[in-house]
Amino acid sequence: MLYVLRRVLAAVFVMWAAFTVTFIILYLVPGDPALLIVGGDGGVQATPEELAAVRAEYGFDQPVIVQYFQALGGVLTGNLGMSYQMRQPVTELIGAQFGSTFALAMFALVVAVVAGLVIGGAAVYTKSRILSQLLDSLPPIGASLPTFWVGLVLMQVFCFQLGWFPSAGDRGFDSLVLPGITMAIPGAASIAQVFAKSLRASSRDDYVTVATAKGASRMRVFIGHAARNALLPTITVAGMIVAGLFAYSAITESIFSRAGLGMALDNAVQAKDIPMVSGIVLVIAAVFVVTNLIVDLVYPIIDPRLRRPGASKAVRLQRGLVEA
Amino acid sequence: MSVVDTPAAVDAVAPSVPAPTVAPAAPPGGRRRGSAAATLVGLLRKPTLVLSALVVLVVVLWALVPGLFSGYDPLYADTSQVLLPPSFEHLFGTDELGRDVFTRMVHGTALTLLTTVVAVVIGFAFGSVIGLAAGYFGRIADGVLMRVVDILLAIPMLVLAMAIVTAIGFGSVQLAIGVGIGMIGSVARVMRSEVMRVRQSTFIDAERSMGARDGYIIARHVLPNAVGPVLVLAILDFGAAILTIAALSFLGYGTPPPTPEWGSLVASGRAYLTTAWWMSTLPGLTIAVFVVCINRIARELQNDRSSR
Amino acid sequence: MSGTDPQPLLAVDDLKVSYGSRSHRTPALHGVSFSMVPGEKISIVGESGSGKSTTAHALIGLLPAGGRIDSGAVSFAGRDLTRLGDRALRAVRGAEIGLIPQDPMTSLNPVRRIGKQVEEALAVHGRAGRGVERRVLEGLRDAGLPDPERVAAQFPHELSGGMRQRVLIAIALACSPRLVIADEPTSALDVTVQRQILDHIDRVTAAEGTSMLLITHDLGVAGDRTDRIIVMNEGEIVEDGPADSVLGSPADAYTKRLLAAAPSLSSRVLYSGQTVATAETAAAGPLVSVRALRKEFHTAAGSHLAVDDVSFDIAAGETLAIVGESGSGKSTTARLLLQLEKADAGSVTLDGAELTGLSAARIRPHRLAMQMVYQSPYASLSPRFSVGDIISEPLRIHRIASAAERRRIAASLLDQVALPGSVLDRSPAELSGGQRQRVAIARALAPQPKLIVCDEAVSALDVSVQAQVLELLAEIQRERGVAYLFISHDLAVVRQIAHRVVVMRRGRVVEQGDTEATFAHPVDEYTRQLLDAIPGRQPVST
Repeated sequence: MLYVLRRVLAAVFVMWAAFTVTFIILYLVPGDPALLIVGGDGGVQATPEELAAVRAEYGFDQPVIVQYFQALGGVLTGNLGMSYQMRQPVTELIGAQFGSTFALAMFALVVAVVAGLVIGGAAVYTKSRILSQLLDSLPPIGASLPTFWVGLVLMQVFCFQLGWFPSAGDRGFDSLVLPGITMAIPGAASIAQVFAKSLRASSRDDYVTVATAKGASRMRVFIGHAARNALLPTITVAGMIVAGLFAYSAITESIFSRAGLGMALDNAVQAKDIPMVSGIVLVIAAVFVVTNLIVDLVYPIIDPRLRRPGASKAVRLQRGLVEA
Repeated sequence: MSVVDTPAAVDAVAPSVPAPTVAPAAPPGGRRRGSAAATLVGLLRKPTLVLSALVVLVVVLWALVPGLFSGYDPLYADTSQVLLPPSFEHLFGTDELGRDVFTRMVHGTALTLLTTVVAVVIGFAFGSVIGLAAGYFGRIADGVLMRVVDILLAIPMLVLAMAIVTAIGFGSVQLAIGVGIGMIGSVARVMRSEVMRVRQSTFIDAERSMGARDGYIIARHVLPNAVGPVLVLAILDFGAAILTIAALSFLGYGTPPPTPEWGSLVASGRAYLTTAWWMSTLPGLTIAVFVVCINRIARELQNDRSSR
Repeated sequence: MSGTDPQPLLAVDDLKVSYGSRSHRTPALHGVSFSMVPGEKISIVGESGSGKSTTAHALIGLLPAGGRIDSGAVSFAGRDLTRLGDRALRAVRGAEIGLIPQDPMTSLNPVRRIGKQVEEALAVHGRAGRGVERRVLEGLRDAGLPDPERVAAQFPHELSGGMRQRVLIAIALACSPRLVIADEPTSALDVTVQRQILDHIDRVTAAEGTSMLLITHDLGVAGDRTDRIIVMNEGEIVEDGPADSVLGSPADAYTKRLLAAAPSLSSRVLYSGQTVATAETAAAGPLVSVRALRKEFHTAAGSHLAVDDVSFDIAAGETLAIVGESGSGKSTTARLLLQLEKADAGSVTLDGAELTGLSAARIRPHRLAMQMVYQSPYASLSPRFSVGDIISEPLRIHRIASAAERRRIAASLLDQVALPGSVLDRSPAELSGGQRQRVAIARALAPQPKLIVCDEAVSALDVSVQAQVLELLAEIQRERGVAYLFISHDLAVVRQIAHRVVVMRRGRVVEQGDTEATFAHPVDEYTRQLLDAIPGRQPVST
């Protein structure tokens, strides 16, 4: 229980720190945000009165430290401020977009995990040297492809030439497939690499020899012993890529014209809509923190060595997050 | 006391034998002193590595002397040559203004690579110092620095760069700063774990038992042993940084048109996917091939180190 | 083997095995032949690289990656195992031939319960029907685990090394195989545990009439536990015969050397008798005086008292050994003495100067007088330095002598440790384990210390190399009068090298005194257990 509490506290700390870093980056920049807000309506010259009104409305007339604590208080109560561009609460805007991106990211995660495990597993299991080399060469290539280009190529082939999938929109499962696969490729590549590497390592472990000496079949040894242990580091990597999927939705959603967090982030950056950018950055950091918390909590269930006093350090050691 | 145990008699052949004395002694002369001819033969066994090195060399030459590879002007719009498919005159075809796409790719190389180099230098300069300090001194320094790194890691590099660009404006330098800061976290982590690995090794303990000072140990033992893996990471991260910078430039956060950049070149073909496939496909393919080659070289260096 | 022998259970005929890649193969076995009859117990003895483990693994087709049987036959109960298909070979493994592996700490799957791992041995041979749980529990109980229900539900990390090895024995014997291959089954365990485990294997194999092939590097274990000994060297069998005659009147030159090198309680003592307390040194007091040392380690899992009230003296020019099993605190004591760890309490004086409590800068000059030789000759030398640089490193650190002078000193030290001058510019990676340990000794000698701490300095070496290094240490002591603190788990080695001995257990000193007197008449019960557990105690009749 102490372990859970410590992990949750650590997660809360990282969230607070991420908020602070975002605040420093985005609110301490030179330039008057009031000008941006008023100018956002079409470049009309704003009167000093209008600017003053906007400053008062958004609290820019307060000292920075007051603004910081107001913003922090807002975050704690679920209020991420008002969008400069939309003049609506950021929380509502994000809430409207989150579901679509969440569905896309989860689909991509499933594709990445399945493809990564199959490719990495097959590369180690196969007895054919050629097939093994071929499968081993896929992940480094997958990790090197520019996501935005893969999206365009998939769109060209499967939407325009074959007409199998819609090239734009966010309705139905069909619209998930291409952007999902586009985003899944780098993730699948890292999962495949880590899984294959840990499989090769665990296949050399002594307990695999012992299992073989019991007379167990190759498949049984592979699944029951080698793969079972190789899954542990793979889960860490899978947890790491989730936030990356949300980040890369900025590109795929823009390419496939899907409404979502990524599209909203792109729009907000273009419009210098600071509360919106800050809100979305926070949400993505939260995704990172929550997935890592889940992985931290799931780990001791899978690895019995970590269920004991002092497990917090042990889990993080095992996951390669800290060193002895 | 006359008989010196010979490696042949003592060291093992079988990898399964127990005692820690089994690592086979290197043949006399050692692999590092192999002749040039042997190196050449070794390279020929790795055709993909040779090919990758050639590709990287050519791309670097694009950046240094673009005029050598194309006679066209990257900015000149020839209205009689609009949207031509690839041919011998126009390797990558032409765009909607009649500009040669290959020429724009070649001339965009310098800016893209320079942006990437600046980003990698920023990431590695700050990341290495943080990692070295955290790894060597441990305790409080480690705790504080690694919390900072945790935060940098909690925000994906692309998103962190987007936030920074929002704050400091669009442009290539800004992209380099954004991506560079985004890299600090992972560099610091690797540097720290390398430093800790070296620091905890027995020969460093031996140095302490002999009375060596911290500064001496860091300079003479820890850094030389830790810097190798970090440099390999720098090359691997170079590939990742190009992809991120190209992605941000694709979204339009880089130097504005008509100046060519790799990412924005791919973006400029988006509107012509059905009519002029080459406009985004071929520049994108070039980026992909280049990054594949960079990563191939990085992996070779990595394997070389781990096999030593 | 004469023709009147009963039908052999196992007959290995001209077995050749090689390792490596497709293009470059290194032979590991050059035609090994032997056979054993049902119920026979044979040990294969050899140093690392002799091919003994390769032989064991090749028999059941478990060569590691890169290993391949090039030719020869392994006939087991009339079938050639090298020609069996995958499925047929699987039916033999576990069911007819059991394997007890080397390292119990790594040989059990860390994420599966013990019971499931024992059950698997039955399940793969279709014996997991009704009553399998009872059979698993019986197997664990037969393996000497007192509370099988509890153990079956536990995970490997919850058991000690000895208990894990018992689980592995239960797995190997689950299907009552006709042959058990025990591959160095106890080399990773403390001596007292080693003895219990070997006793246990003896009992169960005797009860079932199981044949046993014991792979070991320890001639004492081989003589104690088996009727016949096969000696291997460099991939070949050099001697094969009844245990008594192989140990008592070896025919082969290599076997003779191996026997001479193997430390036992009857081997020659190496240290010189006269160093202890000449009038002069006695008057000057001890070189090192350790009083009431105490060290507690705190971890998240709790605190652990590693060293508790430890006191001893080391006279100039003498060797004091600290013996103990893993966790006894012997290495921590050495590190506290060297001020590499800070003691919680107690004092250490070197030549009359108090060391505890000094700042790092104040201790530095004292470090010249006390040097260390580590267990692993691979990890303790900087991989980037040449041998010459490694040896002169302590001088460089303390800015003693010019570069040219240091090089000259390094060259003469190489000569002292009997290494050729040509290795001066080589990298340690080019040397063998024994040669590297000589380099480490030369480095320790460089600042002309009064004390060298040898922390398990010979335990990673093969016996023949070990004997040479021990002799070198004794010779250096005779010539230079340096004192050694010799940390070891191996009582036979300690008896050869140390004037006096300190026996430690769980952080405390249980007994100390003259080595010979202590070994002849141990006062403490634990010392007696340690001595009893040494394999090959009964001197072999010649």
